[in-house]
Amino acid sequence: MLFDADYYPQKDIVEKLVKAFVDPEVGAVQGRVVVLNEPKNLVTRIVALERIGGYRVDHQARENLGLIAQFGGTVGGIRRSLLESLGGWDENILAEDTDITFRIYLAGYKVRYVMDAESYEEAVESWRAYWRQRYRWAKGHMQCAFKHFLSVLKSKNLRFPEKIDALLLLNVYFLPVIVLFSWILSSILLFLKTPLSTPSMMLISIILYSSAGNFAPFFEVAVGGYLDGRTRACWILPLFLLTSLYNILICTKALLDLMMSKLRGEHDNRWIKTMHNGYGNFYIMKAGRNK
Amino acid sequence: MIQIQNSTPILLAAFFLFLVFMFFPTIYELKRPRDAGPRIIVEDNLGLQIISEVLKIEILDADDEEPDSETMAKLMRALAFLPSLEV
Repeated sequence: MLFDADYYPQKDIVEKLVKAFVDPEVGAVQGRVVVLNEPKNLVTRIVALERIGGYRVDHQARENLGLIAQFGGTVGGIRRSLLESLGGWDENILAEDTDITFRIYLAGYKVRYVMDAESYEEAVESWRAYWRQRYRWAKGHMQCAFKHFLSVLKSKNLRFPEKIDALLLLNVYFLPVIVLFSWILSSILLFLKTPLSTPSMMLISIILYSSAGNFAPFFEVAVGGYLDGRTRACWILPLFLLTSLYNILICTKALLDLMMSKLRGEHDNRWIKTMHNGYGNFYIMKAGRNK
Repeated sequence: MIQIQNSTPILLAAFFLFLVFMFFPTIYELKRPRDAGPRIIVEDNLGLQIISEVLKIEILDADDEEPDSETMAKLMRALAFLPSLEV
């Protein structure tokens, strides 16, 4: 079982998580992360909404549809015999949790998501800490994409829908970079007389972009907030426009750094720790008083 | 292309109004938060149970008596549970 040091697990979380291992095909199990210090400031409130979208909708949808449920490296467990047979954690990858997820699936095992197994975390409290954390996630995820892309395509242990989902999951951190590229390209096309500059073409592009592209996380968080009974918390959802811009910068920087280190033949895998203040007890006591 | 250029100011104005309208609830919720969390299932939380247990411990007068083993065990459990500063 794995938990980060700033996590406050539920009393019966071990029982909730380990029962998934009754199925011999299950290689790892993932529980839900809920932000504890949500009232602290704007950053923690935004991270809390991101977590709601991710764990209430994204993870659960993948679980329900039998697609690639991601093992997040915390609030979860992994079958020890499988981990040993896979050669343990890959220390050259910054997102070792995503890496082990794909190695589990490629080995013919599954990851299960158990939403009612909740653990409470202390989210990052500043934009600087947010950058550092997301930069590490983005870079690590991109490393996994380069490592597993072909293996996923060739795998005989993955069904076709799983392959599609695996490729989407592997490449998710490239999306903000593609968005930036598309903005630059569309700005150029707007001022050029090309067949692509027609109103109908622009309308189709905007609809596609809004529904399946950059706006998809907005829908995800809104649905997650609704299902959690947190519709009022979703009133700050428009601020995700700002975090989208921030994530574009983070992911672009991560990709450029990764490409530069590859060109230089270096392995720049420094782990920049996420700073936490350890105020979790305060919020737990507060929740107890408000009960 | 010509149609887009002619309608650009209208589209921009509409988009700006949409942004302003969209941010009204955001500003209101930030000014008067009514759902800023945390959402936590208190009954099932090990942290709350242990901390509550520790808070019930009476403060001992070190000059008069030695802390008993039961109190020390509770304190040790609570200290072991607290998170480290860096993860």
